[in-house]
Formats: sequence, structure tokens, C-alpha cells
Amino acid sequence: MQTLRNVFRRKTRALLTIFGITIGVLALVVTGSVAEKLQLLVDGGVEYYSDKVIVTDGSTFAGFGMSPISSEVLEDAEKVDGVARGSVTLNFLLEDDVQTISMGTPPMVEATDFRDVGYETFELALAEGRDLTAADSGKVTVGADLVSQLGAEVGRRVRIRAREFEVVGIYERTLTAPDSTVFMTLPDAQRLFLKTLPDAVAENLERKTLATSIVLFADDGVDPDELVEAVSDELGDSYNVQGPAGFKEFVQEPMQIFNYLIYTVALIALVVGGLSVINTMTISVSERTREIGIRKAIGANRLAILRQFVAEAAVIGLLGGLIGLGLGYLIVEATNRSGVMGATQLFLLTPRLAIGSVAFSLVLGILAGLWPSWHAARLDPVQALRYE
Amino acid sequence: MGLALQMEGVTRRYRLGADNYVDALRGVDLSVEAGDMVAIMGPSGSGKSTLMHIAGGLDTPDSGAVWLEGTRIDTLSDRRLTALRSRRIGFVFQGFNLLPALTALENTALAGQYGGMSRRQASRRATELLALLGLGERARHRPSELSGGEQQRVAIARALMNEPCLLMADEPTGNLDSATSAEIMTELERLNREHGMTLMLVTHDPGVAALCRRRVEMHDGSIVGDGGGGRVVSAEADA
Repeated sequence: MQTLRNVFRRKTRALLTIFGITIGVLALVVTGSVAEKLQLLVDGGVEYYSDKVIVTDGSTFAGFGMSPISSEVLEDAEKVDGVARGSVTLNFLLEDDVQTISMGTPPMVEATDFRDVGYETFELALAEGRDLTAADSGKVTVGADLVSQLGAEVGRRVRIRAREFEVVGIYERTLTAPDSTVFMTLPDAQRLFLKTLPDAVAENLERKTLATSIVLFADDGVDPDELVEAVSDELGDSYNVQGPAGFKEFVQEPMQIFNYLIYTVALIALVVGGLSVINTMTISVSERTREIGIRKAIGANRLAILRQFVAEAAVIGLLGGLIGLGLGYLIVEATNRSGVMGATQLFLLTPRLAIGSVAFSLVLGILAGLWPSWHAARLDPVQALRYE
Repeated sequence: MGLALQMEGVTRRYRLGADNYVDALRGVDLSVEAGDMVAIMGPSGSGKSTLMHIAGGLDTPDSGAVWLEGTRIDTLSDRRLTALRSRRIGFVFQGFNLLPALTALENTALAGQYGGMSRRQASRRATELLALLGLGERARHRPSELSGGEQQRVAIARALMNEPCLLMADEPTGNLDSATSAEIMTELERLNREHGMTLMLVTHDPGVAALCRRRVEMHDGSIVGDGGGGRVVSAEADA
């Protein structure tokens, strides 16, 4: 209580200093929430691609390819030693015009030929309804982020690219790419995809063999990365073949750089806040020189004085951190709920980020308070008592 | 009774500029019997406050030696000197020197906490002391809500928190009107008489000094007179 009273003895100054820390923590919470969300997306992708080899058109990167290829390539790929099973996949954008810039993955349509059943280890849990089967023509399952956008309910019909589909299942939120994906059977997806392509391109494609990627599963005990070269040799230069290591390299390094960048910006904001704590505490010590002399005269040792001023700086840091976290939480929640960033939620405020941000502001307050407090602790009591 | 305080050949010089010094104490010898009540008098700049600061362990001499209840204190480390000061010496200042943000109770209890009491123990003792000094009803008030006399009584209560062997008061009535001065002096005298508390009072006021059993006169950093009780030994005589 006494510490709080001392901090707020100069209310405006204390509030401005706390506000400085608040801005830093707010920046850390908001940008950190973006980083956490992207990290989760990347981790989800890394997990998904960890046991497979992806074949796409040579002009695109595996896993991100939306250029059409022929599913006939599956037969050639499955001939490679060590490949246990291949599955045809078709991915395309749910809508042609992505209305907002999305930091995550845009809403997608995805379909497979169900040959991956029993091989695919990346399972999605259902919130309602059931999973799709190969016989579910005209039916879809929907990722959690698209429920409100499509008005999806199990048993109700939704419009996807001008065609109506019945929703048979809704997935639990995973905070990864499937949240913004509609799943349908391969023939349905092939029909829709063909319509998305320019006529000149579509005329030369066979609907029934239309795909955007081939997913290959390795035999037990075979490292999928070791298959990449053999599959590449088998299929030739027209195809891009990537294993788990390739995917990791492609997404994790830029992600790390992005993380460093946004955390650096937030940390700079916090350090500026920390400097304002040093400034405030230095002024406070100077103004309270006589008080320090009195405290020493009545028996306070250096440690007691140090502790008192460090505690005041810590309170400034802690309050700034808590307010910054609270404001950050409001901004993150409001933005996620408003959907201004598209169907996919942009922010993810994790417990580790929340605790870490407040802990960091507390430590920053303590560190910023150390020098002025040490100066206070070393004041000569007689000189301090004479101070007017 | 033994000696509460003993000073031998104490000197203290303050630097005022690059080549400018003032000798605040020039070889002071002083002994104070436990239970005595001593007035230190003298004009401004005579060294009274410096003497009190050194005797109370707030400052250290440039040379000479200081003993408090037989313990030499001028050679103690800062940590040990602070510990001793908090438990064995109480200070009362002319300007009261209460912390404005704290209540009378908190101001008083603070000394107990610095002296090693728990918050609860300190609060209990502070309440008792404030009641003893007639401030039971004013314990929750801040200094700005108290009269000068009340503030000085809070300062006395604070000085008594750790049951010191020596209470040092620097112009304790300097900021008070004559009626309140008389009340405070009555209080201090009672502490000395009833509790055997050793008192050293720095004062300009002959009326205050007259209430003390012994009067030490200072001039230019030296003791120039001693009005009885205890003893004053010059550096030459001691040698």
C-alpha cells in the first residue's frame, strides 16, 4: 500500500510513466499475438507435411500449388520404391476476390480422392456432424472459421462458387489452415475448379484427372525426405517435389525473421517505456532526498532503501504491463470478432505471451529502477537530511 | 550507571569548495552518563548538530573515537552502524521530519520495521506509544493534519519505537510556540525521569537547557563549557 501511495504521490507523472510501459506492452501483446498465430499456422503446416512428399506443378512451390496438374502422374509416383501410397488433392480459393489482406491462409476449398485414408495422420476433430466420404457428392464439411461467413449448420445448404452444398460436418477449431477450409469430394471440387480457370486453359484440361497436388506417403521406416530425389527423377522437371525438410526450410526461416522483426519493434517500444521509468525514478529520488535522509536516520539500511525504490519501479512496470495486456486483449478480441481481417482470426493471445509480456514489463521496471534506487541507497544521511 | 556515550578527540572537517574547509569539530572529548539529560548549546555553526550526528552514528569522524554503551561505533561498517542506529538511538529533529505520505501510526511504526519488528508488532507498539503520548485519536492522521506539537510528539514516539539507550533531539522545540514547547519538554523530561532514557538535546533556548541536568557549551567546533554532571576532558588533559 505504501509503495502504491509513493508511486501515485505525483499522479500525472506516475500515470504518464505507466502509460509509456503500457504502450510497449500493448505493442508486444498485439504484434506477439500475430506472431503466435502465424507460428501456430506454420507449426500446423510443418506437422501436416512431416510425413509426406508433395508433388505440384513445376511452377509452384509444393504445398502452395494451385496450378492444375493431371492426377495421372500419381501412377508414376507410386512406382517409386519406398512410396506406400499416393493421393490426389485439389485446392483452390473459396472466392476469387479475397476481400481483405489476410495474414493467415485465405479461405480455401480442398478435396482428396480418399486414397489417403489410413495413411493420413493429421486428423481433424468434428465439432458437429460427420466426416465426408467419397460418396458424399453435393456435400461439404466446414472449418470453424468459415461457419459464420457461410452461415453453415449441419443439415443446411451453403453456396460455394454459385453451387449449393449440404453441410454434413463442422470441425473443431484447430487454429491452423483447416479452420478456413471447406472440404468436398474430388469430383465436386474438380467441377468447381474448372469453372475458376480461364476458358483457354479449361478447354485443354480433362476434368476427371484435374488436381493441384499429389500427396505421397512413405513406406514404414522410410524417411520421406529420402524419397524426394527418386520421385523427382521419376516425374521429371515439370513437377516440383518437396519433402518435410523442404517445407520446413520454406516456411520456418521467413517466419523466424518475421518473428524477430515484430518482437524487435515491440521490444524497442518497451525499452523506451523503460527509459521513462529510469527518468521518473531518478526525479523521484532527487525530490525525495530528504525523505531518504529521514528514513536512514530512523534506521533504514541501504537494502531497505534500495528495496523501497525498486518496489516502486516494479509497481510502475507491473501496472503498465497489466494495463497493456488488458488493452491488448481488448484489441485482439475485438479485431478477431469483427472479422475485419477476413474469416481467419489474425491474433492469438496465448497464456505464454500474456504472462511473458507482464513478466517482462515487471523485470523491465525493476531493472530500470535499479540505478536510481542504488543511487538513493548510497545517499549520505546527513547530507540528505540537509536537503531542502 | 555506565557511560551511554563517550567521544575522544573527535574531529570533523567539511569541504565547502575546492580549497575551502570548515572544521565543524576540533578534537571534541565528551562523556555522557546513562540516564543523564544533557543540553548542547552554542551559536549557529558551533558544531552542535555535527556532534549529534556523529554521536548518533549518522556521520563518522575524520579522527578520534566514539563509543556507544561501550561499543566503538566510528569504525563500524555502514551496515552494522545502521543496525546499531536503528536499535539503540532515537532521533528527534527540529522540523519533525515526518514522512508526509504516511499517517502518524505508519510514521511511528516504520522505525520499528527498520529495527527488525514485524509489521504487526511495529503497528501494535506504535499504537501504544502514540496513546502514551496522547495521540491515540490522531494515529490515522497524516502530518499535514496535525499541529506542530502533535507532529513533534509523533516524532518522539517514532524515536522511542526500538527502546533506544540514547535519544537525541536537535532543537526539538525550535518550531513550536512556548506553550507547546513546554508540553514537549515535559514529555522528554518524563521519559528521562521515569524511564531512565539518556537524552541529548541540541538547543538555542536557555529555557530548554535549564530543564536539563547538564549543559555543554560549544563554540567553533570545540566544547568551551560544561554546566555540571558528566565530565568534559580536554585533549591535552586526556593525553
